[in-house]
Amino acid sequence: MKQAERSRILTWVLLIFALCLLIIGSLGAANALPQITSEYYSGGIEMYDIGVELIENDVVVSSRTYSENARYVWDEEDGALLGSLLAEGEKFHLGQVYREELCVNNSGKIDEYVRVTIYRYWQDANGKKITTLSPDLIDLHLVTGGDWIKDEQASSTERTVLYHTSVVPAGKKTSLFADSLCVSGDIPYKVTQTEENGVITTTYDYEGVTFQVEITVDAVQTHSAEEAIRSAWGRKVTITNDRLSLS
Amino acid sequence: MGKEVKILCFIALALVLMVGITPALAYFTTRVSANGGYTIDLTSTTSIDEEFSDWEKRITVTNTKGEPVFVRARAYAGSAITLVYSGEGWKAGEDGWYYYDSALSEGQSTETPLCVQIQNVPEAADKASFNVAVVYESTPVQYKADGTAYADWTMTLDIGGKGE
Repeated sequence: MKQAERSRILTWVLLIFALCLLIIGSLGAANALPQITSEYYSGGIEMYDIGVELIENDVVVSSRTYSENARYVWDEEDGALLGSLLAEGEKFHLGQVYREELCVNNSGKIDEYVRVTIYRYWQDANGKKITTLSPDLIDLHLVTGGDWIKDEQASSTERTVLYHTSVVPAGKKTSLFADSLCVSGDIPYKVTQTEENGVITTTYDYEGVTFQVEITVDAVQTHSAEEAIRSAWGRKVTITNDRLSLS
Repeated sequence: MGKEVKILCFIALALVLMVGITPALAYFTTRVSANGGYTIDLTSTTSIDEEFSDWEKRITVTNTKGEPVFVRARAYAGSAITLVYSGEGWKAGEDGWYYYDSALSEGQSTETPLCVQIQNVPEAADKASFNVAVVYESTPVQYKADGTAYADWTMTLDIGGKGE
């Protein structure tokens, strides 16, 4: 058999192999689809309606829900955190403890697992993050030890990651993961002194800077939750009797 | 390996990957975020005004600009001189300072002056050369957890910590 003829045969063999793979893959998906669909369709078509809301002091500040009412698009609402902390004309006071009750609401129609990521940091007048100022002076008091557990591996001085250990049923809220906010009263006393030509100048370290609290809420389906969380959030977890623990 | 073979191999590999990727895209997820904060203003500027007549100094302190402050004042004179203080809203501390009991917001002055009556003045003294020095200090208003304003005169500056 000539070389050219052998190559032609090999080509056709590979082409047939590729087509077989395509057909097998399609058949697999086609087989799986009715099973999954029928399983979820028994509960209604709400299988796609996953949604989550961040709630601050009983008010929704941010939400994203896949909604059939919105013709199957994401129904989104963005709001500012801490916007309702002060009354009209009131100034923020260092040292004062403000009510800052935060929780998560499952606004979708399927159960879900949720986690929150909290960032605390300082930024200058141009919105640039200042890494030399201490996030510890921004005390968002967390409520852990109950339904919420802290992911120590993923947390740092600036970032805190909390996982809700149980399933959040559709339409239900979690317990609070934070209940108050206080920015340290020691801030006016943190200064830097410079000396030039015998003149000592004292400047406030925190004058004109803005403290920021940023919160992200992630939600994921409960079906195949361990795999879904590993895939979507990159975190290995163990789920036993619907209770999530960090591996 | 011919060009035709390479193309077919590439197509076969792409098909295999497509079949594998499909389940990974099937997880339902969603995410929301929000952020907010407030700017910290610390600077304040205060000034003192002294009036002198009938061997009495009347001291008024004003917060001319910036954040609310508490103020205190006192006077120094020679040991033979007696200084007698008075003034509504001014309270004597055990350390010799007189403390104004209300915080001064921007533009506010002490409503009543701190009056310092100078007594036992030597007969030879004259107003031009006589010296009674008045000093005052201010401290930023501090807040308790419940929002009550107070002054903490014991705090010392934390210098060189670079904000830590």
